[in-house]
Amino acid sequence: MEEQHSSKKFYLIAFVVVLLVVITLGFLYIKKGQSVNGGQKSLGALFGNIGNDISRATGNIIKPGNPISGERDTSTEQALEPLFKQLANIQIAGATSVSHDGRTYVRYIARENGYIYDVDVKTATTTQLTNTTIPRIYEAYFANNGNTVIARYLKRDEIARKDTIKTYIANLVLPTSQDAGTLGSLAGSEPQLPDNISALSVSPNGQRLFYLLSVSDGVSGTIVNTQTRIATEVFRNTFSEWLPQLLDNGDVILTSKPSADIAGYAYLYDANKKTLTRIMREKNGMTTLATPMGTKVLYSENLFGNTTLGVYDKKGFVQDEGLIIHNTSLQLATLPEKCAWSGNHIRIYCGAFASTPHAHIPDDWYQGTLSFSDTFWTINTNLANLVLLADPEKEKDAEKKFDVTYPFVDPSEDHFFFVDKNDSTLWSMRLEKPKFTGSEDLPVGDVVVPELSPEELKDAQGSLPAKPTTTIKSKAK
Amino acid sequence: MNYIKHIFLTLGIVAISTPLFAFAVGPLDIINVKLDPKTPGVNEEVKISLESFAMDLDSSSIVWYVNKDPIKQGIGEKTFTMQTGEFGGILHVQAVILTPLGKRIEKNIDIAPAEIDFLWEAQTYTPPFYKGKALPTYKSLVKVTAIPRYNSPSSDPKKFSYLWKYNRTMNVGQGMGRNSALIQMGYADTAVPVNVDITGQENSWTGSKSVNIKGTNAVVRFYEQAPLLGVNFNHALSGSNIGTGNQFTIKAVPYFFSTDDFLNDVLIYTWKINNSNIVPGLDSTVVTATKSGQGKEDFHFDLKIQTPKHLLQEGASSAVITLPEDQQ
Repeated sequence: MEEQHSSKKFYLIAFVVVLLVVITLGFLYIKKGQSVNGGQKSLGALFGNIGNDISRATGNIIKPGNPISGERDTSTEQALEPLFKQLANIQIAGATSVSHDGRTYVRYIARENGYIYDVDVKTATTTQLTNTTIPRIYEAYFANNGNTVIARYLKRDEIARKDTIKTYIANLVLPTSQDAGTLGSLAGSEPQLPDNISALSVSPNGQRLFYLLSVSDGVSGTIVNTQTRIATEVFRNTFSEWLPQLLDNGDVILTSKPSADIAGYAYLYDANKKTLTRIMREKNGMTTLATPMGTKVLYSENLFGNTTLGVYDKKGFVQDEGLIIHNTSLQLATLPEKCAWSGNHIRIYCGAFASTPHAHIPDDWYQGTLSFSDTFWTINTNLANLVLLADPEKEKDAEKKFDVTYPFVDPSEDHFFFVDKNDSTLWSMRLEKPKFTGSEDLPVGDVVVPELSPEELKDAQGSLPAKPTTTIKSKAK
Repeated sequence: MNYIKHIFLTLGIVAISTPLFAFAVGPLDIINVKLDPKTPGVNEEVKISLESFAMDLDSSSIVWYVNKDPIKQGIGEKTFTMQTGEFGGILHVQAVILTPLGKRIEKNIDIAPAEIDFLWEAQTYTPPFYKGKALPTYKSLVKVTAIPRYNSPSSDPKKFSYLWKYNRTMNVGQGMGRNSALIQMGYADTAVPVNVDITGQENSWTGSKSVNIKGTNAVVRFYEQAPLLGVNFNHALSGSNIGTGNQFTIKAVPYFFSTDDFLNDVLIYTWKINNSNIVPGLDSTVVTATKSGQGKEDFHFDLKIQTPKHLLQEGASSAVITLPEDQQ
């Protein structure tokens, strides 16, 4: 009897132990799913070979990101990810979004030494890709789906007491999965780019770059194929103080360098026809950001001491009496370099300053005497409606000030990435789409958005070759 | 004979000095036509005004026609406002004036949209990768460039003739294809007026544009120069700052000093740390302060930059850097 009781007790204890083990494993499984920032090693990041990206080998896990904001919503998987997340806590010189293994990464280059890393956007797991040293990079760009890097730095000649701007273009050579454990390198084969390039722009699709070089009677502009390195001079002008933006079709938006109280101009340069067509004129302190095909251009303007954002639409907006205007205000106080276009090139995501300080903008910001504390917004530029995405200073557990610069979004537009100008670190902000997508993106009432023209459709697809075609249907009555 | 010659000369001056392909037809050109703006662009509102010192326009009946359609009429209607069209289109505007004495005078004005963009760039220093505009300072040179467009959204600037003036009278260049000129600035906070008169091929079009270029002061900014990261242009140093380690290096950037003076290394840098004069090394724009002991130390950096070539081009900056006590 006692033996029978003992056996029953044994089975009961065993059952309880098994139950506890199951519960513990289940809990750990769920916990693992939630731990988006727990520094888990990502196999995908180590052996990626998807899409246009080239294969890479095992890298080093560097350091996971540091979430600064807690959960905001418990209903979706997105809500488990912090709203703001630090993806790199070192100073970076440039970054881009890449996809492989069905995951999204941000590829960035360290300012200090030129090492290149991939960071998994969801988990913030970082993998070092290269160890070719390029010290003290001031600005860098990626091309060819992140497989080419253009790094700009200064070389000091102590005897001549002069700095030379060097622009180094190189392909990432990443070991195959068989070479696991080794790091890749940068192959900077000839021809290289000339010294003292005054300004440079990479097309959104990464296939070409455009640079400006000072010549005796002004400036010359050259387009370079980033794969073949074939260079063609396409532009000469007596005026040299331009900020260029190369479009996917080879045209270039040329904007005169801005100053707060000085009228600026912006032009569309057709590199084939060699024509310079003005698109904006006499706007004080103006800077611009065009869509990949130039159908829309975001611009800022200093109006009576206030910085305002506007959009130029190539096709124009039809007004009451049939009058077509090309410019419209977006009622946001910010600069285009704090904004990124969405994949459909209708919506923008921006960091924006709450109020315009008494300062010379953008001069003081460029000189580093002025820093902004940005809030985050999105605007449908067809409807000009603003949606506040986040105020980081008010975010739970955050209270962080960001000065947004070099922003971009991933193809799926789940995240808005930016560099915080305060310390040059890389951050992501999770985009909570239910806040602004859906019917809101479609016209309402009497406002009609026409079918996209072939040019606009091409623009909408321009920088996203892997993305399926997006078609917007009109709701014309 | 001399009288007739005088009339033709007057007509000629009116035809040339009236911008935009505007010309007058009449027995005696005693009525002047003015356009505002002088060079109306594409789809731009333009105000046409009639002026005369020889006849009473206020009492005259005036009828305005655009492309032969009557648009406006009335006694003393001396002004007419209309909108220009696209490039390539010419609007024929006619004003028919009937004076109280019964005299009929016609004025014909052809308006073809044209545009002149006036861009300028100061030849003053800004650091590498700086995205802002170089600003003009005392006696610095400024290159002015005109980009005209006539009959087309994009015209070749080399196919126009230019006459450049600044300070209203000084000719600084003229000739076919000469779409830029070099001028010298005056004092800070004063404006230099620059004007360009542009003529199309075979006098098909004349236009002009003026701009006032205002001078400013040169400025000096301090930035941290870190051994591994380089110069941190994102954050200018001023007031009090906390450093790290035993050393702190400051890089001074002389914004808006004449580029030639900077490149030829004629700028004079007067550095002080804690009120003592410091002689920088090979690079005059950089100085380093090093702690003498293990405790916390403050370093007051002061710099004044002058140039012997342009005495009023000068700037100064100061900042305090505190280096912390050594970690045990």
